[in-house]
Amino acid sequence: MVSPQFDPVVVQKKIEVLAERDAEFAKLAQTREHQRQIERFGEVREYSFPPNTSQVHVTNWVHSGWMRPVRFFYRNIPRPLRKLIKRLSV
Amino acid sequence: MSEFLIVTDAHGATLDDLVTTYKSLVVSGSKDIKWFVYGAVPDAVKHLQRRWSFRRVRVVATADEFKTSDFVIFLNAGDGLYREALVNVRETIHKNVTTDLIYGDSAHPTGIKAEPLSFVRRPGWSPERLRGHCYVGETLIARAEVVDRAGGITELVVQHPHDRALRLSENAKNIVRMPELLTTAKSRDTRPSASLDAVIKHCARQKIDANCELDAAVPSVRVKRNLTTQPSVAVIVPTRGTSAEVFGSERVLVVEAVRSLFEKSTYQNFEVVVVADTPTPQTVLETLQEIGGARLKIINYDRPFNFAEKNNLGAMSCESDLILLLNDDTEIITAEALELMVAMFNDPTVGIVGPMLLFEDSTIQSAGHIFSPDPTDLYRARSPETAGPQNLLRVQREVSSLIAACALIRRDVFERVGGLCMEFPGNWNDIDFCLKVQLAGYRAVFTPHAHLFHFESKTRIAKRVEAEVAKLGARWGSVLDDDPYFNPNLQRYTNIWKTDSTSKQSLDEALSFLLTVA
Repeated sequence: MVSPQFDPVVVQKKIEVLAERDAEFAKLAQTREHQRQIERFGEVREYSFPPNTSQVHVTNWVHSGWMRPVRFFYRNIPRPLRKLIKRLSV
Repeated sequence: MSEFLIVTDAHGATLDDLVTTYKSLVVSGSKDIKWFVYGAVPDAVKHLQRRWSFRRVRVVATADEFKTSDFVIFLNAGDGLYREALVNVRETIHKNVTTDLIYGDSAHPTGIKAEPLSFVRRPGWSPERLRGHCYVGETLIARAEVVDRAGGITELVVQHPHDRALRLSENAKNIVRMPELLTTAKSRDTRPSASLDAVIKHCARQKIDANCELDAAVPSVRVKRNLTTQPSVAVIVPTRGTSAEVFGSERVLVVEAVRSLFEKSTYQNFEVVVVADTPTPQTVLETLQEIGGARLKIINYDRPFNFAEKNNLGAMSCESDLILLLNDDTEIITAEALELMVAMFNDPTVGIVGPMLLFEDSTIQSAGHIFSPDPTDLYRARSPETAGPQNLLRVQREVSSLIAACALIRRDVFERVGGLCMEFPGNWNDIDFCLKVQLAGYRAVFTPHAHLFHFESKTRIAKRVEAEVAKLGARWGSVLDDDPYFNPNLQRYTNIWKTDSTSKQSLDEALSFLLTVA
């Protein structure tokens, strides 16, 4: 296949039409996003990637201060009960 | 009236299997469950009916009693519903009142004491992937009307799970993925099953003109669509005429990219539009013209670098049915790559198709993007033999975004969504484009059966500009935060599909468990 040679002015106009359509889609997407942010935060915020929490909780939450009494309680309950909790939690 | 009717095929099941399933139903979070054990011997039914369940589970001998407002749950004998799973199901139905079909995650035994369960986290609804294998799992929750339309309970319960899932999905309008544990499976095998026969029948029912082949090693079914027409393709190649060392010898990248296209591709109804920056050497342009002849057009680009604008300029400078965006540092590996991708457009809902791209050392460069939430190439730098969890990399599937280094697009869709956004001159114009295509109602499909080289540096990390993140997020923040083809329970900021077993969610689960115990 070979398509005809286009006049650069015509091509430029087509690109401008593309830019207009892109702006329409951007507006549509932005309105949707703004709505979501208002529902979630009550205001429109500048977007940034959320912090990586995947690894933070790996070691930290079990060892956090408020867990100490829970850990103590768990370690000192009768062994069968501890086993039962473990089994249920899995 | 009961909310849920559980249906289990008891053929070949042991009484222990049925008891396991029964026990799970008692704690599944509903006080009124009817359980239809299809094909169970009367003694087994009597045994189950005698069991104590706080009157939560009624074992019924026929499925006649169920009402059209009920939901039917197909559950294998020996598998169980996860604790309180039906509470989540009820919530999902409440949020989505038009829900016709629900599937969710599953837990499988590993046999390892230290880590007794492995989890299958499933992506959102992906019809293309379901043709490849039963990625939705074997436990499905369907509205009774949908079950009726798909053939009825007694017919569906004995079908292969893949067949059942395909039949139900054909009759369901609103299919919802519940990103919560739904099933505790008996099987250790976390790979989705696949049935060639089921897919052939599905293609016949859906009038998909394709050859289906079973890849028994994976297992998956490859649906190879037949080319019924020969649509014209315009290949847009932006370049500066750069040379680089590839496979131990120096080459002009664009020349070899175009040469491989003309010499290797089995699909030849294309023309090439090279959008060349001013510094492109004249000898390179002459060589290109020699290779392409009348089927190659060179457009001069004398403005500051803008990848999006260069592609838009190339696309608007020619006429064709399809547009292939192709980087100059690529080379065809699979001779029929273009043919495979073109054939995907037999389906009018497909807007953009992308192949698997490999680095020079044949490791994966891109197998579709995931937003985690940083847009990332899935399984980048891994072996192309990697099947991925649940054979993710071996089947055609919908993705949120594809890399523009090689992407085939329907021209009418390209024009309708305004091409690549020129406000993203370097990064993320492809992501923005794919999301626009999906906003317009079309699907973005990745195919692992078409391979190309992309000689990008393996160590290249796209420089993240916060202003661009903000701009992309202002448009698509919700999709970036919750990619529909990802799963919220997976690890973030990584390019692999791995359960985030120690995330905040597990903390929440631990806390709610402690509160329950208390």
